[in-house]
Amino acid sequence: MEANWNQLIERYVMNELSAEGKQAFEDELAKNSQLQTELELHQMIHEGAKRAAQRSEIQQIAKRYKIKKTITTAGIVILLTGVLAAAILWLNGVEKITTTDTVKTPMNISPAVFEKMEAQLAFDHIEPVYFEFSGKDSAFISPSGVLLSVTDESFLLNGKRYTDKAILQWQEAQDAIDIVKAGLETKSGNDLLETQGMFSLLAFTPKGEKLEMTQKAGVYVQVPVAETKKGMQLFDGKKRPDGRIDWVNPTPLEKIPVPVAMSQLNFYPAGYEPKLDELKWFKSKKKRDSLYVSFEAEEDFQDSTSNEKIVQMVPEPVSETKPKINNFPLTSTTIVASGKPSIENGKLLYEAKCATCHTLNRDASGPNLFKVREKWSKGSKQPNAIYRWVVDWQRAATTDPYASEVSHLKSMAMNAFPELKGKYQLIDAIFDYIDGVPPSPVKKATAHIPPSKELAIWQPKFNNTLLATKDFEKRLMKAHELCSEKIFNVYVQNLNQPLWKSDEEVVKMGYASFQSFADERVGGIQLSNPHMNNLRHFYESAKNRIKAAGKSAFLKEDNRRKKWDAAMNRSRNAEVDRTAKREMKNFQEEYAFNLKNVAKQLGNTIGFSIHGGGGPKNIDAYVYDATKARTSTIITDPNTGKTAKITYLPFTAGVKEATSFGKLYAYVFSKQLHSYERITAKNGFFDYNLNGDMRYDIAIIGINEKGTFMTELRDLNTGNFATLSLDAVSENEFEKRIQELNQSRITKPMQVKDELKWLFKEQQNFVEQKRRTNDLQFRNTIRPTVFPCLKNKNVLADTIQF
Amino acid sequence: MNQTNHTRKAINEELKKLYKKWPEIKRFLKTLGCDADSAEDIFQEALLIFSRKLQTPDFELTVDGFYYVRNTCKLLWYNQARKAQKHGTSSLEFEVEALEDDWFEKEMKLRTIESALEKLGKQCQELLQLFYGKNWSMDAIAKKIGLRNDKVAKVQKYRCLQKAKILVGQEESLVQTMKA
Repeated sequence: MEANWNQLIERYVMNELSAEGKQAFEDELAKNSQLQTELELHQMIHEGAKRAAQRSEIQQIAKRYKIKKTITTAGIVILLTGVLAAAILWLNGVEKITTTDTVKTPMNISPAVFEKMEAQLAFDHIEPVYFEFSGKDSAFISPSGVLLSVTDESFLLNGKRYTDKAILQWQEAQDAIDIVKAGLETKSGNDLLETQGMFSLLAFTPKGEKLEMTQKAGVYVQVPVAETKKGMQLFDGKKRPDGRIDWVNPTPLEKIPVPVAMSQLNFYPAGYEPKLDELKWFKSKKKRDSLYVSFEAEEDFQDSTSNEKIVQMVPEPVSETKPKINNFPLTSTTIVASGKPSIENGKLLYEAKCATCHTLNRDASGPNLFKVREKWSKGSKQPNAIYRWVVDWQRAATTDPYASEVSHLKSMAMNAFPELKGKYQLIDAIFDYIDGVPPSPVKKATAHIPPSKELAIWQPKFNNTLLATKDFEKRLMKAHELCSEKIFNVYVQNLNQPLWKSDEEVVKMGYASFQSFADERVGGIQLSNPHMNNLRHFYESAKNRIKAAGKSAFLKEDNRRKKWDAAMNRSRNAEVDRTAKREMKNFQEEYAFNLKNVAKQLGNTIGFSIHGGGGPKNIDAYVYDATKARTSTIITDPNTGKTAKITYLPFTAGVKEATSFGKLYAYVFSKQLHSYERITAKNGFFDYNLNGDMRYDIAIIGINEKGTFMTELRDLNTGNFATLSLDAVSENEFEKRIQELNQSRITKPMQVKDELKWLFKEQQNFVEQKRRTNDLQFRNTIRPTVFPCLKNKNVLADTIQF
Repeated sequence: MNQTNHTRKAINEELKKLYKKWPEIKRFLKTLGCDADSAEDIFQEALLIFSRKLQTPDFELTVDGFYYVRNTCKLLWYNQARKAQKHGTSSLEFEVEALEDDWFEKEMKLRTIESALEKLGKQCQELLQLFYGKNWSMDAIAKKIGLRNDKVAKVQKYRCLQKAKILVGQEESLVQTMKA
């Protein structure tokens, strides 16, 4: 029983019961005292656990308090010691230490040795401090807090390495009193120095022999200073003949790099983030990182797509006019009327007409055009084949087998340029321009710092290394400006050496601008070897991983686009078929209708011969011609004198803001025919003669990336509508209305389902193309910030195919 | 300082300030006969009681936090001393004070529950503390403790509660008060 209650009580307390469950529980609670006690117990345990959590928070505060206290105490102790030492010094005056003074005598040193050491004191009147060095690595702290780090590689005796016990004799003069007392000068030659402290360290064997410091390791001295002043240097003291010390030979002190958390640093190239902020793009680092890497993937992709799949270029159905490409602001060019057009003209023409799909010296949406004329003169048997191609590739493909082959190279249809018809000189100018731009050698490797490498180190794993410092950030910025991966590599591959050493290496590579960095003389951050190896492995795997991720993302999108385009092609192919069939059917039906009409009027039509101009004709032919041309005609039966009239009435309509629609159609539903007719607008205008003996419903529809728009005209057979406004409708609404128009006429009308499906797909394509264009423009805007050194700014342009 | 803002952050700040008064409290407790180690426990307990009191909805601080904490320390010390002595030769004055403070009594009861909970395994303790104390989600807790997912953690929570109940049941004094 208890176990069940346990679960139930918990759920009640956590408010996990339904309203009924809760009520049932409370009812039971009211009459069951055991349940009450259980519940109470349960709640107390909750509270107890909560309290325990709060207790640990208080313990945290206690810990922090204690640590603070320890530090302060230690500080006080040191201070006190210092004060005490100073006090002792003051009290003792300036008397030399005698051998009987046990306070200062180091242990186990014979008085003779001691005197020898004292005789060699560098500073007068400064009390030395002695440390006993065991020979193994140790650290000592002087009274003023100077840290001395001594190892068994610090000393030489008579030129040989000395690893035994030693006595260190340390003198320090840090404040003015001491300096003056010691008779020390703060001058280097004749220049006055501002000093943060003067020190003397001598080392002796227990026998009193003087030791030398090694060149390589020496003794590490760390001086606490009140403030880090810039330009502080280390001077050697040279004893002058008169006993005074001259400070010479200044060497800069190493500046200690300050580690900063990686999350606080910014490794992007200078213009990248500001540009994204300007465009109000996503702020999340993850998104910005993946965008950054995508440019690398794109670059690599560029070079590998020279062999695209062989696909058939599918042109727009012939019955439609090719729409103008409006998306890129193309500068209007004046076509030179006379004289030989210059290369400059060729450049303008290229940029206006060709650059959207072709890229100089690169295979892009359109193939590389470098020396394309030679290719064609070799490949095609026909003269001027390339020019004919440029003017109208579709036509060329039907008459020239070479052209037909070329049409299989790319899946994107090329535009036609009827305005260049006959103007072969202009086309030549374009090709002259193209040929004049030689292919540049592939210098991609040094053109930029690969994003994948950069992101591989921009990770918390590299905290507390040289890379996680503001100093490195500065240098990386500079490396971005110079677009040099080599510079990047120098720093990343030398994590364990002082920064200034890497700086000097970079300077040696030829980048003089890094000299100022080298002058800063920033030190290094030591890492243990296992740690270094760990980081190295991490870096290798991380950069590969990031690069692969970028590439796969890129390929994914590319595949998706290819699939989309293929689907569009299929849809269009089907549509072309459908339209052809429909138009034929329409014609036959209307022809039969007209024939019947005439027959009705004349009483008898078949087999009649009427002489008109041009040879014996048949009524059928008249009716045929009239139907084909959609013009009115009067047919007279000479025998009976009866006339039959076929009437076609004008129908014209203009559409408001016609240019905003990528496609503008009029669906003409005749009440007397099974199938509907689809008319394409020319320049936003419909001009279609309607059969006077029929009644029509007409739906004018427009589609663009924003959606579907329509308006209806009911029950007419003529009309002139200057400007019709199209209303935005949802896809569902659109379908409904079209179906309605379709059904409300003859029984068993032709199905519009497929037509609608195709229309919607076309509309979606507008959206897709718009998205691609926007994306392309976006990337073209960002790319210069990612690759500031890339010369060829003319990059891959997707086709604008509507 | 009559009305303190009872947000968690503010309470934490208050606690940090109060902790600085620890030497004073230590001296105070010493005069009452308390040794150094117990003094620290008592002080932390008092802070805990005080911070939890601050979180109750209608609590208004009528005296300086420091005095509240000091008083609480006194009470705690006397309780402890009384228990240690086993014969109740403490002055009536303090008993009355202790009895009057319901909050104090409740806190003492919870203290006992806490010590019962301390007998649970480390994982149970952590789980319960994170869930009821810090209001972590089961997902987060599962991750922290190293359980597979939140459902596993939930099952574990039930088990811990079972164990806890048994342990608490064994605490004599508590059983007494519960039956009352």
